[in-house]
Amino acid sequence: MGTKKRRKKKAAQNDFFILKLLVLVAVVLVIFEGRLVYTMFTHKSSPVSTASGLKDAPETESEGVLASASASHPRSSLTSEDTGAFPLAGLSAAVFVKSSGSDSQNTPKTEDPYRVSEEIDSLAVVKETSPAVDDSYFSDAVFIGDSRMQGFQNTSGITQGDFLTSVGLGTDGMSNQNISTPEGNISVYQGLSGKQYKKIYLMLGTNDLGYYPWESFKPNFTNVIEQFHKLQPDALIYICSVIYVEESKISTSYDNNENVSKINGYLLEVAEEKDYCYYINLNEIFTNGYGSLLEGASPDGIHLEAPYCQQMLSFLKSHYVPDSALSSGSARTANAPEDTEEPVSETETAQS
Amino acid sequence: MKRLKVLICMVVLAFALTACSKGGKDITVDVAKLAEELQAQTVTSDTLSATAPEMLSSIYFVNADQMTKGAAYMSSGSTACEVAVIECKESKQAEEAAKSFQTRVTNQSDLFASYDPEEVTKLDAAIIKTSGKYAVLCVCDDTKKAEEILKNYGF
Repeated sequence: MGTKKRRKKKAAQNDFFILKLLVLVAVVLVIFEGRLVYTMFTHKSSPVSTASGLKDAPETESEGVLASASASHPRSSLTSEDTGAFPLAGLSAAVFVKSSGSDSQNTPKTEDPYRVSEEIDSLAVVKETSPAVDDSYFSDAVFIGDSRMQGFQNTSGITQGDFLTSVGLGTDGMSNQNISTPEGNISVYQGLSGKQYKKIYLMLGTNDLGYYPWESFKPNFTNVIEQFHKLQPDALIYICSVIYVEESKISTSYDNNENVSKINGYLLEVAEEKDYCYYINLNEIFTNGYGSLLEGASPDGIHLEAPYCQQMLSFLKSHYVPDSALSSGSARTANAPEDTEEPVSETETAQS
Repeated sequence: MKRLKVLICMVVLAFALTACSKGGKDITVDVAKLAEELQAQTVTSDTLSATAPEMLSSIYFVNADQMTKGAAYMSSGSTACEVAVIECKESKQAEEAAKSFQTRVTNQSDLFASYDPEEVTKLDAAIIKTSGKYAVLCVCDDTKKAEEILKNYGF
């Protein structure tokens, strides 16, 4: 009898032990997977975050591209507001999935939402033109710009054209004596005061990325363009976009692609306002698809390696406004406001 | 005695004429090869690229009519390093080209002083040499090596 009682007691203890174990397991599950269980029962989606990197990246194509894009930090300006998710410290926000309340498995494949298109819908933007011209097209052209334009002169292989370039040249430097000549340095305005050109290629803005205040940039740049037009009334002015930078190689905080995009916006506006101006979007060939410079295109994040300068030359040869379009007036239809600036002073126009 | 004096005068004259040549013995230089060797072995802070010969006259303000051949390697804009070798029609024109090189160095030094002051050191140590109808400009990181190479070529 006693044995039976002991056996029963033991069985009850075992049952109790098993019960305690089950309760413990249940508690652990509730703590770690409770959200999942809730989701299963309510069919409501929630942000999914992962700390294990790309392995847990979702399966849809756009989301996979998202995950791979984060590896190269394509858009350093992305924030949680852009993604609707909460990034973990140290990880790009682009890693996380943005869900909009519907079942993600039924979401059709879409374009990568973080890709930045370089297509600009504007009559002022120079489109690809056929046939491409050769170097002789630049025989009556002058190239004005900063060290990036100087690098283009040095390494692109271009054989014709005049150059008025200077390292560090910015919008505020047009009157400074910083263009080398046999007799010493002259200003850009002085350089434009003699020989007449049919085309002006202008590459400015990289040294203005730290411009302050921003509201002054466009009026100053507009003034520069208008002075150029007064000195070279027959010249078409091609305003080249500021090329993206590779932020990871640059130490100055203001040299970033957000500022590049901002300045390019102003450059495009000016091009649209002046019927003698056109905008050449060089980032069509230099973008990595996410608003940054192609990786490896520059040793220091700003100045282009020779092969990319050569690509730029090819691009300019295939992006021009044909004479036929200019003479027929079909190239542009926008009305430009009249120039209102004062004439350039005599001291500025005196040739050295 | 008189014959001895004449002999001594002739020897002195011969030595004087040799001295006046200033080492400008007639050398023949492969400008492309020299330029390539200089940029490859003396520039370490940048990767220079060949510049189209047609641009040399406008970059260095050398009269294109006086230039027979030219080769240059230049920077993409990140440093002041550059190498240029020019063959002129006459030695006098080579000396004018050397003056143009000096103007170039002076102008670049003024500009880099505010843009990137560290590069001014290289410009201050720029090597400009002539030999016969050849003129060379070398702004580089290893001037000792550059001098060695130029000596081998007869500069």
